[in-house]
Amino acid sequence: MEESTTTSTAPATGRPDEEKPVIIRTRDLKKHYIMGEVTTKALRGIDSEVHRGEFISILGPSGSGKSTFFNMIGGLDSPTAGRVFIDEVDVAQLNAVELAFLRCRKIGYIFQTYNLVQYMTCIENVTVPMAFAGVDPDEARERGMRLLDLVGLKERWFHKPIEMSGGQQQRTAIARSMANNPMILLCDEPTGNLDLKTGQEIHELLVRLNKEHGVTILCVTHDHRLIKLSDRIFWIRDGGIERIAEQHEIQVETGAIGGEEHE
Amino acid sequence: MKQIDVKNQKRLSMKRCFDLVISGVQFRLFRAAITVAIVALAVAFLMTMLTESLTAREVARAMETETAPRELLLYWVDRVTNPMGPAELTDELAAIDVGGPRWREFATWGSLRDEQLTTLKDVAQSQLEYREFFSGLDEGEIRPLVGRARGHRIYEHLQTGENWERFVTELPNLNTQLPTSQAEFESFLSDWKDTQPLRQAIIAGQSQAIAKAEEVIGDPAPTEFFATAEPETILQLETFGYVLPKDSVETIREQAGLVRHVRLIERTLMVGVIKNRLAGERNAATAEVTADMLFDHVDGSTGAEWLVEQVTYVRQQPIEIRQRIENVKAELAKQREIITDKQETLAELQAADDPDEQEIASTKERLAAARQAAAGAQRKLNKLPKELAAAEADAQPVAAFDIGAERIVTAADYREDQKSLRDVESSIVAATVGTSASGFLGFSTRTMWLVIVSFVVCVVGIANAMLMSVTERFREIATMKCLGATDGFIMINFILESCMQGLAGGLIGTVLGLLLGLLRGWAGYGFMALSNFPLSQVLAIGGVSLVMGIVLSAIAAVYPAWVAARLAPMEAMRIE
Ligand SMILES: Nc1ncnc2c1ncn2[C@@H]1O[C@H](COP(=O)(O)OP(=O)(O)O)[C@@H](O)[C@H]1O
Ligand SMILES: [Mg+2]
Repeated sequence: MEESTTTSTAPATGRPDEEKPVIIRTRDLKKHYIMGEVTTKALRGIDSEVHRGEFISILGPSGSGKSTFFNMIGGLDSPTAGRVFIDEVDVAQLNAVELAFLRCRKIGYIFQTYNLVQYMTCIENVTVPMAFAGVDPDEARERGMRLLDLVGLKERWFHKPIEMSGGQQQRTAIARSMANNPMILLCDEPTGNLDLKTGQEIHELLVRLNKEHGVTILCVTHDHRLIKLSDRIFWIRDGGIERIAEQHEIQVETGAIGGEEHE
Repeated sequence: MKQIDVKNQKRLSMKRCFDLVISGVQFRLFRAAITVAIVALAVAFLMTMLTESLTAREVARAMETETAPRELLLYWVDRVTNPMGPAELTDELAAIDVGGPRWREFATWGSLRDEQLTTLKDVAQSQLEYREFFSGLDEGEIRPLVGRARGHRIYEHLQTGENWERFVTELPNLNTQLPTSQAEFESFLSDWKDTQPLRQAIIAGQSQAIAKAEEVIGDPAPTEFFATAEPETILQLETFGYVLPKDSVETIREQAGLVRHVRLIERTLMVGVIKNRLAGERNAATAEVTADMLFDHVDGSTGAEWLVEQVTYVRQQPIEIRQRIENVKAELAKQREIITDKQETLAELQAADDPDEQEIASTKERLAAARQAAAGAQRKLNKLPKELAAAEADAQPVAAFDIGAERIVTAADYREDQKSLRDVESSIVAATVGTSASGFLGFSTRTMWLVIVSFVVCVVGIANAMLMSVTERFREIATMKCLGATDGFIMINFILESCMQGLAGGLIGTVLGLLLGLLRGWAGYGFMALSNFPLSQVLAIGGVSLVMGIVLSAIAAVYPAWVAARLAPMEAMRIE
């Protein structure tokens, strides 16, 4: 099987590089939730492009459609209209089993609520996606331990989620999301349930994964320190991208962002 | 350049699925325990029912062989004493085996040829149909039809043209119809009339046979006759037309012997002495002594020997008393002799010229003593006949008692067996009420329904527990899907989980049901249930029950598993 390991060697640059291949592309992406009489237009036609190796922060008030956007590009839900291309593959064209393959190996998910399997130990949680990918259990364990080492939890591999702090749980979740060397990490408010300091540790870990492993990361956050480290920022409001800022613009605007983003 | 090469997601090996399920089940032990308990209950119920009905069937089968000898004896006692009436004869004729024992008996008794018997059989079979028709009518309906005639007299009654006319005119007023056409009934009536002498001949022949049999049997009850008569004597019955298979004779004699022995033992209680002594032995009041107590006491060599001793003693009493009477009589004669002798001596002494006063005094003294002794003997003699009569009355019930300790024990065992057989018989009757012979696995329709309902309840219960489990695990399932689980895996995961719980519940239920069924069988049929326990069959149905438990769980899990598999992975993102 051809593993797309090339991603891990691709160096990330500070600026979005036009030569770099587009890894996520959305075309007029719309998502409407119909509940009885009421139709919620969660996404009102988003056109966007994300390049390989980019670190993108996503900002936007609650209910603006950030999670919905992630569901669309993560292949977790199908759009009402428009298209999502992951590395030029139209997600809509994939059947259920291929979608499972995509979710298993190409995309990693990090949730605000960690979503670890409660009855599994740290290492078992990390190796779940490998099991789904058909990796040999011994190899999976070895790889899992390396990932735990990467997130700094090597010593706690035998702990169950309830025996760990929120930060440790989120780090386990990050190790799990990296299990099959994905190209993209989708982080939906990964630090939403964590205190500031722990949150920053998580952010540092994400940035490191981006820089050292070349994983493309999209991260919903309100933390301006992370924003400063991002390549680009998407502002989402009312189901649309209000604005996209390049990294050089961010440096200038940082001060303003903090104020604007407080809810 | 395309980096993503999307392929089909791999299918997980069964072992991996299994491992994942195991760790999940361990985490949710309580919920799993509920499901296991539900399955165990349903399976135990099925298993109990199956075990019970199988045991009942086996026991009934065993009962038939156990009671056959006794039935045979009762049948023959009945045969040689009770003549059958016209209704019984019709039943017998309708069901008669061509060339069988009954057939040959009837042929002899009625001096009938085979064709005649065949005709009788046909007539009897139609007669049964009409009998059912007439007995189905109530008094108000039957009166206008045939007046006061009932039973076979109806056919006699309808022979006259006048009565027949009335019958024909009244018939259309009925709600029910004749089982055949009117013409057929008419022809049956004439057939019946034609064959009536034949039936009467059979009954007459039978009465003669019974009369002759009574001569051979003599005074005692037929059981006594069968118990004590030589086989040759019993086979004499054949000369009166009875068809008595040789091998039956032995069985009948043996059974009659046992019945007789039981009766002999029972009769010992009519002896006051024995009853009193038994009360003493058992530490009971005399009034409390029962036959059961007696049989319980003699069911063992010590007790049996005790009874033999008592009987011997009781029978010895009259002999001893008679001996005593003889002795007293002799004593009396002796004393009388002495009296006469002394009186003579005294007269002589007093008549002497020189009466020896001393001698006279001593003779007088001895005379008085002899008189006293004679009076005493006379008094005894007056009392003894009464004693003798009492002793003879006591000995009378045990006069025929001619069995030793060993036989007593056998008879006591036999009585015990018969008693438990009767109990079992009534249990079987109770257990098989409403059971159709064609019922599946010996199940009555009612039981069948109960089992089906229990299954439905079980499936609903499991499905409910599984659904709750699915609801609780929404986030976990969705997360698994985000991590690459296919719908198939989720589905298999849940069904496997349910199957494992079904296996555990099935095992527990099977063992539990088996024990319960065994216990209930034991309660109902005693040791007959254990000695006739259909082990191999029960093991087979145990396997079936186990599979049933697994299948039920699998079925119950399909819907919840489908709900889980359908769950959108984005549910994982949701924050409550
Ligand atoms: N499953 C759903 N069904 C109906 N409405 C939804 C659903 N998910 C999200 N929405 C609505 O879509 C809008 C965008 O929600 P969301 O993407 O969760 O916003 P954010 O993550 O930016 O807070 C909100 O108005 C929300 O109520
Ligand atoms: Mg959200």
